[in-house]
Amino acid sequence: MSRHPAPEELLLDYAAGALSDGPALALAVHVALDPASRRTVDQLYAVGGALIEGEPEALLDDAAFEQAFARVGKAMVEPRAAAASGHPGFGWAPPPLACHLRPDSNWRRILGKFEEIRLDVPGDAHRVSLLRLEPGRGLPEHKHTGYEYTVCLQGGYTDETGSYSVGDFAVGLGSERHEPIADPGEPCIALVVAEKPIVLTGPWGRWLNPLVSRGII
Amino acid sequence: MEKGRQFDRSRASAAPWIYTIGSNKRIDLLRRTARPIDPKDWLVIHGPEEEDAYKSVLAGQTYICVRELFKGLPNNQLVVIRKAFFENKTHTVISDKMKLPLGIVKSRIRLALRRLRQALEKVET
Repeated sequence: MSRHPAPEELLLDYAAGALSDGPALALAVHVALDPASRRTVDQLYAVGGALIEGEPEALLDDAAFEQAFARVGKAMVEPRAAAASGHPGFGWAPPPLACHLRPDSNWRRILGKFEEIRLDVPGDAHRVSLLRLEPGRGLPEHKHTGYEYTVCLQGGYTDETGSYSVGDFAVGLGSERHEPIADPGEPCIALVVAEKPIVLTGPWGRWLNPLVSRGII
Repeated sequence: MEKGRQFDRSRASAAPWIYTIGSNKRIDLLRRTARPIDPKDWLVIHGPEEEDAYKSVLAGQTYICVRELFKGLPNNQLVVIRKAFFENKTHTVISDKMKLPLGIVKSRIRLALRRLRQALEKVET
């Protein structure tokens, strides 16, 4: 069980299918790595099922009923697709993430401090990225203008709010500044889904923020 | 065990399962809104796996508990959860639409889930 599970209200949003694709990916990855959160989501599916039963019955005329059953009868039952085998070098990516990575997805060095792979999540305005930090290195000090979800995938990191290891989920919100630093050991890899561009608060922030907000860095 | 209860139990696991399929299919549908949907694809059902039998029993137990629990759940907690499932609103949107502070919406969700867990623990012990 992780020390930092996703908050229950977000697990409800996820189980109900209310999240847009970027945040839903963050939750899917967390749920794949955290058995306790997975159990909560299964319980919430049961809640969804029980709610359906409480709904008034919808009347279906005989012809529509026959037609629906005929279609179900013809439905193909297929073996489940084997879990996507990660591309070489992406062994840390759980299945919900693996399908977003391509063999040519390459780490790009940003500001000489960390590396990033931007993930393309069509139809979603969130910035969805994988970040990699060498042990002992930190992300530039920054604050958020919207919310930000982080799931740790390899190694660990520590910031003002605590220490996060594989499977842990963090919600960054509001104006608190934070400066995550990778723990000793393997490089830290995390999935970061941000609603709005971050604002750098360090000495170079003034000059770099216009580039960040335009998505150049 | 009498027949009626047996029937109820075997039926019990179907609803969460149907809900899961429905919700996954809907998510697939939303993802592919740009492309036309092949009705054949819509109807593909994946064969059961070993793990599914366990999950189905677990889901069945959970489901029976949940149904019982609903009878005793305060309406203000139920409303929030219903809105999430049937109106596909995130808790943030729900707080906005119902003009309730975000903290209140969060605590109602957490209270409802705590009661659900307590009820489940009773069954398991």
